[in-house]
Amino acid sequence: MIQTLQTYWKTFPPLLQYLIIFVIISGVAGGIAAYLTYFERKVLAAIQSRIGPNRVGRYGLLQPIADLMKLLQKEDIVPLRADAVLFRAAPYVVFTSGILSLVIVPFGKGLIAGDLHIGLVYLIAVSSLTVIGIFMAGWASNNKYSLYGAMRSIAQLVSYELPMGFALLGVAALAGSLRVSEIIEKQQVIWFIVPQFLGFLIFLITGIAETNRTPFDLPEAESELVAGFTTEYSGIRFGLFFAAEYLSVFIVSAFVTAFYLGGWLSPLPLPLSQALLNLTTQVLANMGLEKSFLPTLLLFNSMFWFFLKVSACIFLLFWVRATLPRFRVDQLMGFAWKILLPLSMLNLVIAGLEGIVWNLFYPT
Amino acid sequence: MSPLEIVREEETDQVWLNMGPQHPSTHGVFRMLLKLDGEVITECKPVIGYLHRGTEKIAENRMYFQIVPYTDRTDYLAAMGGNLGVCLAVEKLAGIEVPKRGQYLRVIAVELNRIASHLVWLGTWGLDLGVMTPFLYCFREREEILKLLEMMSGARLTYNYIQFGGVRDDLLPEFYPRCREFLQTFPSKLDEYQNLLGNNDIFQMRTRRIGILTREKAISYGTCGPVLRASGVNYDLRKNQPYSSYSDFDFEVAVATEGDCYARYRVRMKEMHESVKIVQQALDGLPEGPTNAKVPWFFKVPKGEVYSAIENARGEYGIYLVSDGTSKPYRLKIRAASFCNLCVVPELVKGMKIADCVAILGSLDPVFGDVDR
Amino acid sequence: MGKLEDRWNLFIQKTGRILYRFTAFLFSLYVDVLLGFFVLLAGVVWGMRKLYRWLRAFFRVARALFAGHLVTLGYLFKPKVTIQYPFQRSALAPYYRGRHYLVVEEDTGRIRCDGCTLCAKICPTSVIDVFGVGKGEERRPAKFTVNLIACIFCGLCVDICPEDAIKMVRDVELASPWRNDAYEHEPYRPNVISLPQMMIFEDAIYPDGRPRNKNLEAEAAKKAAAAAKASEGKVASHA
Repeated sequence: MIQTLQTYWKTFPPLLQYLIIFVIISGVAGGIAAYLTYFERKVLAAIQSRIGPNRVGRYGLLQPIADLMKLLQKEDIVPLRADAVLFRAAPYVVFTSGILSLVIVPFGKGLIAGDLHIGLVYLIAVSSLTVIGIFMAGWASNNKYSLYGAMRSIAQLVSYELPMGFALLGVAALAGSLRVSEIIEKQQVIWFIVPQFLGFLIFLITGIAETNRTPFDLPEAESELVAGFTTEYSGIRFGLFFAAEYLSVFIVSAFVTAFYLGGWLSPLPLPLSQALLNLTTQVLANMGLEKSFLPTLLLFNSMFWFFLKVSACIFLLFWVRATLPRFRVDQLMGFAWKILLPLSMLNLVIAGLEGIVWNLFYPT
Repeated sequence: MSPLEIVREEETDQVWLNMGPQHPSTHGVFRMLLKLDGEVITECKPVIGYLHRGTEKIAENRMYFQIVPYTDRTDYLAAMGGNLGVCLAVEKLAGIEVPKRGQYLRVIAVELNRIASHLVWLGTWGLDLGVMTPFLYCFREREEILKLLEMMSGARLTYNYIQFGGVRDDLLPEFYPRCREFLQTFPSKLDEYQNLLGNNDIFQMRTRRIGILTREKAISYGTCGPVLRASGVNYDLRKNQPYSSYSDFDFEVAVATEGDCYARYRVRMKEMHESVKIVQQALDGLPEGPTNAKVPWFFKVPKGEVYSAIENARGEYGIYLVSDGTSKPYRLKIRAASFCNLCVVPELVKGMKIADCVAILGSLDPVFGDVDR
Repeated sequence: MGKLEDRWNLFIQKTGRILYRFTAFLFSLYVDVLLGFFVLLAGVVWGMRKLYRWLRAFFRVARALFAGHLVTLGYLFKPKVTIQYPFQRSALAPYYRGRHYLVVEEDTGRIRCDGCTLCAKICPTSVIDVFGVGKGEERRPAKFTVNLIACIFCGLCVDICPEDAIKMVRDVELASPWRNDAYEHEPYRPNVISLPQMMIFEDAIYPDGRPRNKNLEAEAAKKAAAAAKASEGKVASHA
């Protein structure tokens, strides 16, 4: 079946190919965002000694669908003196920056939608688009609370982009390239979390801050400004903001694994992972399923390892949300400028030295 | 003009923000008008009265046994204390003697309720500061206490258990093992909360040196309870004016000197530990005998006035009772702890940021049933 | 001849001065470098101490935060405390103050309440509406309603009743879409309960079969006393 699909694929004009890929990826992004809300609720509940959603569908699996239905049937409210165009456009801008980052996510070996030469730089550029969307939302709502929340959020996002960039520069220095697939391939020697542990921590922390999650979720702190910049949004517009936040959780986790945890590389030594792969292929061949599509997801192949690591990282993000209190705005900014930024510069120095040592042993 | 003068002229406007009666973190129906200069609060005008139900006026038209359920509903998180307050006042005036077993049972009830009330405080304060997990852990522990209190009295929140002359009913036999088990396991849970919340650096950054209430201000504003003790005043009515056999028990009074939010946190955590000790001692030393003295249902209280106060979870819960010799009081005034504690809010939040305002309000632990009555 | 000598002496003096100044300069340079080295050393030591203190604080903070995370992770693997209502219900305590019922004697089928209105008088919110008809032993309530919307479930009516006629059982599912359901307005049903029926609510009994509810216990004690008296040949009569 895969063969027939591939032959058909080659006959499509390029524009149609791109369109189909776009639809698939957007669908996947939406599905990921929706089901991450479900998993967060379940994980948070398990940590808090309770069961999460379990009534809607088996084990509550239809909960995101129920939430979607609920949001869709709500009234579309645009405040009276709000800037209508900006108000309507803001959620889409924020969601778009999330989808744009999916271009360079390495789902598996050779499974990057667009393997750009300048992948890292593209990532940082695209994640800055969120700032514009949030500003639009806060300003166009014509509401004091929203504006406060938006201002805080912008300050936070902009300040945390700098340490993130420096941490990624460390990775680029070690790998000698900005291309995501090359960075992953360079990690066959050793995952970058080991030489760049400080960079890993910095990237993780700034990633959490970029997505406005606890402990950096002051912009949407329920206990203070009701809902920050999303106060005036209702229905599916609010749903889009929410989905954009969870999509960016996925993206941050995906890039943490791609840059620091070895991406789609197997953590086991090569002979062992090869043996596992052969074993499962054999089992599936015995069952007569090797020609169909679904079992490829079950093999111990690169996609499997990637999703395993991303899940671990997402669990870490949920775990942090359950445990830590919220920073105050000035403490948050102080943390970024006075602690993270110097640390990230120190990390860059370390990365430079390591790069020299690396190229001595593994010259390319 | 010099640049400094230009900047001063173009000062940004200060905004009045209304943290309205419906707000996720004002702990009840409380309205605060905050004048904001950017993020910093320059002035605060609190507005209360959204939960006023006329308890004191209602009490003027009710016989004494009928007043006790109303006192449950003033400080609803520490309802046993409310019952005890009014019972002590009437017993003082009417000269009713409470048997020893009744007094010990009252102590058990009030102290268990104190732990439950502090658990609510801890959970909701954590929720305001952004941690959602201690909220659920605290409520899980509190569920056990509520089951114990339900076994004692028949209800989970509005107990109507402490009556004139003693308590309503004796303890069931299955209360003792369950209570002992709770007392065994609870202190380790408190240590867990300390690990999760108290030692957490972010939490300490949010609460240390925030909302400092100096000793002089605390006394002059008439604050009471943990708020007063966190500012360095060693005043606990259970020790200073013992009532209901508290002098039989050996416990320490939690005092701190800094007067900031973290000090209030430490004082309340210590109070929970001490309450566990008190309940343990009361259970071990529970004397035999009747649980209550016989008081006629429609009794008359002799003419006179009395003020009697107890140390409730929030502070000094006082009842000022004026009786004219009939079976209904002439005037029943409730001195509410949360009301006096809330008076310091405008003072404490000046110069703080909005996030700190929420932290301060949480650390003062107001209950608006108590504030507004 | 003197002039040449003077000029030579002058030359020697000048070079001597220059040489002196030059060696003084070299010496001061050497001293400055030496001092500068020590200043640098002091600076490095100060910086290292500051760094050490900073790192120690950093690790202390990290360990505290990590300890908090371990606490939450521990609860991931502990049993969950959720009770799945309505498939499971949490067990209420024996004396729980739920809905009111008038007691009906199981052997005679007679309602114990005689309409004395004490419960209505003690009720703080005046929700009980009762009046009795008949005289003496035959006095029965013609009407007995409790407004469950306004009732505060304080239990004073149960405490005050001299006949042990009104009880509160563990029936808490009282919500209804219609306001009339709040008034137990049908005089004898459903707001009467016989003692065996009460056992349905009082599903927790002692292992030896004794009922848990204190009122039921009083019943059993009275029955035992009545049986004892009957066995002695005396007729027990209690209203």
